[in-house]
Amino acid sequence: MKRVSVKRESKKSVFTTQKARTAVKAAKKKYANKPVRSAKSWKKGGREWSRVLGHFGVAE
Amino acid sequence: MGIYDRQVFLNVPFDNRYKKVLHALVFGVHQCGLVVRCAQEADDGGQVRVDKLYNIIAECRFGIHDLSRTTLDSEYRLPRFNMPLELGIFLGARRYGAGQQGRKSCLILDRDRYRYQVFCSDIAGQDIRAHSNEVEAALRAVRNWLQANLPSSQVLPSSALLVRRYLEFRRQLPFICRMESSTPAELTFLDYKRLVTYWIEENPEALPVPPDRVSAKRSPARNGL
Repeated sequence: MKRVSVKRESKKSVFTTQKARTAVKAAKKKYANKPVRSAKSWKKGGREWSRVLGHFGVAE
Repeated sequence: MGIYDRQVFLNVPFDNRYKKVLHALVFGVHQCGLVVRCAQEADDGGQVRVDKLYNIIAECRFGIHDLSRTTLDSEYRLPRFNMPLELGIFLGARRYGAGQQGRKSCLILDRDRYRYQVFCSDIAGQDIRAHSNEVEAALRAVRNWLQANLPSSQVLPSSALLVRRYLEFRRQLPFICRMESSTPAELTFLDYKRLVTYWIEENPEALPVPPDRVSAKRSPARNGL
C-alpha cells in the first residue's frame, strides 16, 4: 500500500478583527427590526438559511 | 476562573459533512462563556502537528471529542484514527499530567450512543453522548456537560435559548459574509470563531439568574423560616 500524503487546504482569512466587527454591527442593524418569530419567517433568509433549517428538521 | 478553565479543546472532524455540527459546537461553547481551541487555529507549517496538539491540549481544561468519523475508508478499508489518538493524549494528560492537568474534563460524542463499544470499549465510563449528526442534540449535549462541570454560580443559557440564538446567528451569517464578498461555506475556522465572538458580544441576551442569587432575593417568610 503506498503512503498517501493529505494536502491540507490553506484558505486565507478574510475577516480581520475590524472587518468582523463592522460586518456584525451591520447585520445587527439590518436584522434588528426583523426578529425570528416563526419557521415561515426563517425561510425568507435564502438558500443558505433553508439549508441550516434542514439541520433542525424545520425546512420541510 | 483562569484562562485554563475557560478553554475547550475541539477534537472533531473538519470535513464538509461535519461542518454543520462543528459550527454549532463553536457557537455553543462561546455562548456558554468559554473559548474553543483546535488544531486548525494555527497555520504554522514549521511546527510539527502533534507538538501543536500537545500545546493546545495542555492549555485546555475541557475537551470535546467526536468519534463519529471512526469509519472505514472506502479506498483502503481502514478507519481514520486521529480523533481516538487525540482523545488518548487528552486522557493521558489528565491521568499523568501535573497540577491543573488533573482537573481536565472531556465529553465524548458519537453518532450512536453505544457504537464506541465496538471499536474503543476501554473508554467505557467516560461521559459519552450521541448526537445522531443533529445540531440540536450536539448543542444540548455540550451545554449540559458544561453546566455539570462549571461552578454552580455560573448559570448557562438553556438548551432552547442556545438553539434560538444559534438560529438567529445563522440567519445573519450569509449577510455578514457578503460584506466581504464571501459565503459561510468559505469561512476559515478562525474567521468563523471571530464572527461568533463578535456576534455574541454585539447581541447580548439576558441570562437566567443564578440559583444562589434567587434564594438570596427571597424573603425569610417565603422560605418558611
